[in-house]
Amino acid sequence: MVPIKKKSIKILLIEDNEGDIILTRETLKEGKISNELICIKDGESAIDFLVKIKSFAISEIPDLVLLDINLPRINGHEVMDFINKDEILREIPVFMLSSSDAQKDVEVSIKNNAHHYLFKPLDLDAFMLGIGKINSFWLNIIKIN
Amino acid sequence: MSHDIVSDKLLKLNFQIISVFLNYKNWHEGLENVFSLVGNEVNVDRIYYWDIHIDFLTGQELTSQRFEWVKNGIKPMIDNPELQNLPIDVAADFMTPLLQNNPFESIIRELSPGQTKEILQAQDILSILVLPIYIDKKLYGFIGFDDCTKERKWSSTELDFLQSITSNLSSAIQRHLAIDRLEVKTNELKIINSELEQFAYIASHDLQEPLRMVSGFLNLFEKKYSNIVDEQGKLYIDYAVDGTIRMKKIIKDLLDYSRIGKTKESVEEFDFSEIIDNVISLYSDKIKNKSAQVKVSNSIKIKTWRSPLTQIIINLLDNSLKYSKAEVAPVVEVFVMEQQHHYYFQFNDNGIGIDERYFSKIFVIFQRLHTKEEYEGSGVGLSITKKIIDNLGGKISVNSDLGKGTTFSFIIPKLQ
Repeated sequence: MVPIKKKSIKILLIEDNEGDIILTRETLKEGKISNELICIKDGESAIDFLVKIKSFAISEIPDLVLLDINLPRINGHEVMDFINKDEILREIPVFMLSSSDAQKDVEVSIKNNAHHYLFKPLDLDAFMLGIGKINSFWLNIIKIN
Repeated sequence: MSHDIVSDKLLKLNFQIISVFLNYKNWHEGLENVFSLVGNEVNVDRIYYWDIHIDFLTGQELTSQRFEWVKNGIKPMIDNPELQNLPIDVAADFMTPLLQNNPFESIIRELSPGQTKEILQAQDILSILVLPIYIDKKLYGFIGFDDCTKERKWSSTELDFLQSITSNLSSAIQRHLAIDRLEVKTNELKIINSELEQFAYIASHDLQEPLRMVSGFLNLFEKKYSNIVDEQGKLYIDYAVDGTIRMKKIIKDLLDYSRIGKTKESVEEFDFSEIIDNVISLYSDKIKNKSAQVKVSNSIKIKTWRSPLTQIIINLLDNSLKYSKAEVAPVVEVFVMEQQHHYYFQFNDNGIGIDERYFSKIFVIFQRLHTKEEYEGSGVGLSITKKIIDNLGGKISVNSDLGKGTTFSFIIPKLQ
């Protein structure tokens, strides 16, 4: 199978903390990961966004979702649950972002089929480890040389 | 019947009544029993208990009949609505002496017309004796004795007897009030305790968020701009970064501390050696680095929760390895024993030891005995250990020779 060359990967970051958004952006930059980062600051808008994009522009579906657990109104677990129940959306790899190592958060994330569980602030090594676990064709091409 | 025989009988009865009050958990139940014993003995027609209570809608103090005993053939009054929720100032002749901790004794015919006379006559009472129950310097309730068949004068023996019953009842009520108060206090303490734990959890959890910002941006600043700040500036950043690292550790420890006892793990039966082997392999690097030896002389079967016990072993081993002497290879000896009601564990090390003066301090959270430079740590390890053991219903104790080593011993009760 010939990988389709992509210039960059599309990452959807669902995160309400401005500081964490900047730190995540910097980490991705530091890792020289060519990306297009879309930020959405709450769970409700994230679900709206995913639903819209699924029906109108399937090619625009993000390659990866970074999902904070502690979000206003609809939290990360609920967003993950929604993604997991949708036949198309569930194909997207999702990394849960958390500020705690609360056993409960980890358990729920595993139950919801999250691909990876990361602590904030986003650590490049941990992120790459997670990327390494995704069995997807674009993995080879995300690094800029 | 001679006077002495009467008083002897009453004395016996009084003993009987005291034991009734002592035996009953709920003094109300005891009361019904006592009333029938007394009623038959002193030959009255009704005995009843009223209490004083507050109507929270109006703030008024009221009094109501609560219990009644009646002789066969006498009309009960317990269901008479007229005898419920009377304001305490309603029948002044009757209530005034009681409110002042004096008995009310009367032949109804001799009373001057008024509310008291009406109320009592409506119940066919000819003679009455009412004794106050005074608790905490105020009227708590009263006990009344009615004679509906004859006008009578109470003998001093009878009066003494009935007084002593009343004072026994008053003691019983006080005892139960004290127990109630104690229960309320215990519950309050439980609530405060769990609120504090909740507070520690929320505080430490929420502290992580802003701290992450501080450390995240400090790191970013260091990476991007360290080439444009001078040495002094770099030093400042180092101090700030170091501060965030330590704070992170403290918050993590605090979180761990507040989480103790929150697992829903079930009880297992396992061999103690399983736990110790796991811990040794988990710490193999550290043990190797310190050239330490962990000697386990025996093992027993244990039935308890696996992870708290593992955590205790980890913390004690960690403590022994941390406070070892620089020039001597650490040796930790572990001994375990089964007793009738508990398991006994002992950890011996050849470390730096603890001055006896500090024995009581080592289990206190955030209490450290050494400077950061000597031994790192936030001073939570042993307090976590103690809290886990407390949670299991056990006890921990320390013994040490300064400069020679330390022994930690703890017990965990066996589960029934």
